[in-house]
Amino acid sequence: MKQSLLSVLEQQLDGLSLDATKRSVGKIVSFGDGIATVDGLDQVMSGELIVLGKNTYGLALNLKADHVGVVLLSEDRDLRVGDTVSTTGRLLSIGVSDQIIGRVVDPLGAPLDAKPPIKIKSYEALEKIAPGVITRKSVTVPLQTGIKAIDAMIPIGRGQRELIIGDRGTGKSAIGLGTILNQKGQNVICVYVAIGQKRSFVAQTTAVLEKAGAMDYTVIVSASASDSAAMQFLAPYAGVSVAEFFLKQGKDVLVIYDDLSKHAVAYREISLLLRRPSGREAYPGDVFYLHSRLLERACRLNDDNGGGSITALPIIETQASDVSAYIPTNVISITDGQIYLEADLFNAGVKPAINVGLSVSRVGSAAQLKSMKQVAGKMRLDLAQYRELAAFAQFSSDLDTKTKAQLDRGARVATILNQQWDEPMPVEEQVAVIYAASNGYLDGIKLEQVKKWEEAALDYLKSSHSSILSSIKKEAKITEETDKQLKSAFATFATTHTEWR
Amino acid sequence: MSSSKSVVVESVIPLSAEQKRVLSSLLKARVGSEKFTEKVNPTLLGGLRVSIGTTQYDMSLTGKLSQLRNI
Repeated sequence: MKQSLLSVLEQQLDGLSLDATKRSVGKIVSFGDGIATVDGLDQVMSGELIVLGKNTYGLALNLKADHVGVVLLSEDRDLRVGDTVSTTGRLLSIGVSDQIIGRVVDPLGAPLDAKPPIKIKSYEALEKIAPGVITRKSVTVPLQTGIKAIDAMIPIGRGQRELIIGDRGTGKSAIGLGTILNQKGQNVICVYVAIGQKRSFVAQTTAVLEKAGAMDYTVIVSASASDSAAMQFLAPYAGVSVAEFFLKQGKDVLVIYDDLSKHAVAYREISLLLRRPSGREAYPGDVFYLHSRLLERACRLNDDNGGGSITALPIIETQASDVSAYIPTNVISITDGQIYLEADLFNAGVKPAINVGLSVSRVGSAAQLKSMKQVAGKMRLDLAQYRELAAFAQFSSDLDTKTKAQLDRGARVATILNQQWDEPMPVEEQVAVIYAASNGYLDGIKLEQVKKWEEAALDYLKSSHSSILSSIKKEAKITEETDKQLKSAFATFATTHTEWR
Repeated sequence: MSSSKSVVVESVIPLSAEQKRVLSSLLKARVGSEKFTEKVNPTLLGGLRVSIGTTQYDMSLTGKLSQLRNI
């Protein structure tokens, strides 16, 4: 027993050379509110990790002529004015390896899920310059969110940045989590960055993802509301650094930042405490750069550089639907499109509460399965006409048959887009359902029964006509043959089930 | 410039006269001034820690032990 312990220790200490270290030291001049003003530290680098006291780390963020402003990364009650602090020679980085998948970590890599520390393969710097123009490739591979409204009309591709924006309680986090749930078997690693969230929410989310088996391909990076502003400020950068570790291996990664509004607030807190000049809404002058350097690291690399991709889904919370506020406009101009969620739609029962008119994906159908493109075009038209006529819906008994038919069709297409957040739908099923809705197979069905119709129709297709579904998925196109098969399948279904008319 | 820097040498036990002589000559060559302040610091556990101005050279046992911890 003793011998094996000794040999283990010897193994670990083998090859270690402990030389004399050279560091810059300084003395704390003033200390409070998470900021330590330090005198000395002559050779410090900007953003360098500083060690104060025994186990407290800080970031040297403010390098002034006569003092250095160090932002503490954790609470320390034992620090006093006059204490000596020293540099570590390291810029902030997070230790990553393949073992980080399935774990909940803080922005410095320390585990938060009561499991052993992560074995580190390499250190990824938190601040990196985004990949250059030549190394990138245009976005062509779809990232299926499993949400019908998004995959049909606001399609997201691997390597795109799509903003999810809306008021509180409109289902923004739900879209992000639903997308993670749908990545099962899609060969995408997911990173969920929780910034300033309640710890109970992070615990709940972890439990939900574990139950669905999503933790097999997900990493959660969390800096919750009671963590220091510095940790909340670093969390998104830690998330994208973890993603870059997998990007280097040529993998596809999805990163969800929930949410960047809290991130901007944390950065504002740090900047104000560091006495940096403030601008609009008291945000510091570089709050745009804060988000642009984060989101520019989401990219799709060409084959010479590994062919991997990082897709970013940042989340922004608006106040009273004001998308023209400072931070929302900043992030909208950085991302490749937005998914706009409205409280009115949510309260009216449209879930996901996506306003299709105001939402856009700047990558669009370049990142959409051909079969989906074929059916989505007609659906979009139906919905647009429905929205135009929606005001007349109250007078539906006084309208001509053609208008009434358009209203009915539009209402059914809109209802078919409703979906539970934790029930993502594979793309071939989405295509079949949208095909049915756009081609009138829902026209006689009562609105309240549409959901039941959808469930039953999909069951029927999966059991008796699974070849149609697999051919939609494989061919990635609705061939004439598939079209005929779909028509006959739905016709048979309609004749056998008349209970919902 | 370097002559205005204060040099502090911390050790676990007081330095012997011979050690002090060697230090002064090294410092004179390195920093330009041979004056230094001595401090006895038992928490070092062994070795020396020399601070020239704000640069600190840590050759103490405590310093080496803390290198073994990784973050």
